[in-house]
Amino acid sequence: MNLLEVKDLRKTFTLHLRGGLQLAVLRNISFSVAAGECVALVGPSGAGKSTLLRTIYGNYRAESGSVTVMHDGELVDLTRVPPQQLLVIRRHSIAYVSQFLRVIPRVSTRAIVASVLKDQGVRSPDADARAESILLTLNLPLRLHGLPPATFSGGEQQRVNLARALVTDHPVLLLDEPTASLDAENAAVVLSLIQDAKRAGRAIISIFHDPDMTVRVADRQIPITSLTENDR
Amino acid sequence: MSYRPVPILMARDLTLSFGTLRALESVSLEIYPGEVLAIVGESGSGKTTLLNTLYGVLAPGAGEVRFGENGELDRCVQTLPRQQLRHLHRSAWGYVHQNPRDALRMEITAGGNIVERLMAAGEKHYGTLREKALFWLQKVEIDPKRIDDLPTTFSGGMQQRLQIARTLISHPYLLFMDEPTSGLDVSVQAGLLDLLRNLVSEQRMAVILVTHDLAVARLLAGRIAVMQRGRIIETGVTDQVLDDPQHPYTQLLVSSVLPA
Repeated sequence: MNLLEVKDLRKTFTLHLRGGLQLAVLRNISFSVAAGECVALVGPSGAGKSTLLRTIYGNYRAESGSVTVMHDGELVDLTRVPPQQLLVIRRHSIAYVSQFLRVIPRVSTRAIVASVLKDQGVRSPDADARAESILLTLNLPLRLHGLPPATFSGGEQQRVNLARALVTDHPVLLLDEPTASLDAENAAVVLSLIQDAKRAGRAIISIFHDPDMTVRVADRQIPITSLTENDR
Repeated sequence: MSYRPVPILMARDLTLSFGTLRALESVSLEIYPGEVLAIVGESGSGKTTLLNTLYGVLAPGAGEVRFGENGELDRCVQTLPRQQLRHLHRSAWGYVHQNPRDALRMEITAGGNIVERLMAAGEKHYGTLREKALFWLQKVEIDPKRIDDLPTTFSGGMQQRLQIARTLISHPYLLFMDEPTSGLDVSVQAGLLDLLRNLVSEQRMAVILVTHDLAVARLLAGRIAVMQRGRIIETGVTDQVLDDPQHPYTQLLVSSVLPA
């Protein structure tokens, strides 16, 4: 069963401050991801892999085409839903891990991770316990849970970001270089969590900076190529 | 598609002029239960004017604001009798001012400020009022020992927390906020943002938040509306509008922010 279907997706940026310069990034992107499957987006830097992930999540607005996601038992086109519904679908059905952690300053790491569950209606002690558990799995020791992540290293912040997406059971998971700042040991933990997510029937789309990771965890590769003048 | 949320407030074609100045130009928007909508733009773009028109303390030259709690927008702010509007402002709606001194009564104690709405609603029992005041002081993270102190002895951040407690005690379903964190030190701002986020999600309130600070909008609001010269020029999911702005003015606004 497909949990995500991307069809004829197209994205151009118009830079009004640069005299209306048009940047064509995505053209004719079509693929689907089934439950329990991990697909890797591969291609040269600047080809538009991150833009594709963000357009699927609705962080960037699709110019045309569709992004259909399984939400609450039905397929919904994210490019057509009203903002209120997109927010509900993100809360329950599609999660995205960017390369950057953006949170309210001075809030504890535990609270940041638990808030994702609380937004889904999970109560406080349970949400906190699940947050602690995933943070520990990601090798973030208990003594860090009460601290805000602002002073953490890049790798630690990236694991907090991953914890936010892995603490829930969103059926569709979008990962942008989830292991980029991690050492081998922590990268292996993330790899095994992705394997767990696949076994749990989640659909994963990921960009890996390390080709070896792609080979080890991805069931398929989707090539994203830089556009030439002819494509525009 | 079965999903059809019903707004609790809807404004249609609001237009308002101050003399020859057009402050609002056919502004329409909707607020849904439990959501935070940020209204952003430069000073002078009409944000606060819009907020005050929605709230009913400014009368538009044209257009109307309808509202209702039970899935029907059966009441109109502009035609509501004055007394009913005043009652609404004291109970089901709340307004948090940029400057807490515009809302607080500086000559009565912190506790007295907090329970004013309850007393207006008829609560007279001293023990109950005191208990509620203590509860809300704790909720906004003010030392309960300060209950009998005057707000004049409080810092700016504490006064703002006091204003929030005093407003939320009646459990409003709709909260209007005008730059609630902008008069505060950044260190105080972070704590207040966290408090607001938690209270909003806990109380399931809808919030209309006016701010010039795009970072505040990003952290608190699900949706955003960008204003320029009295018009809403772009709206959408907050991160979408801030990360992929479509309108030339929004692109300018977003690219003008200094990265922290």
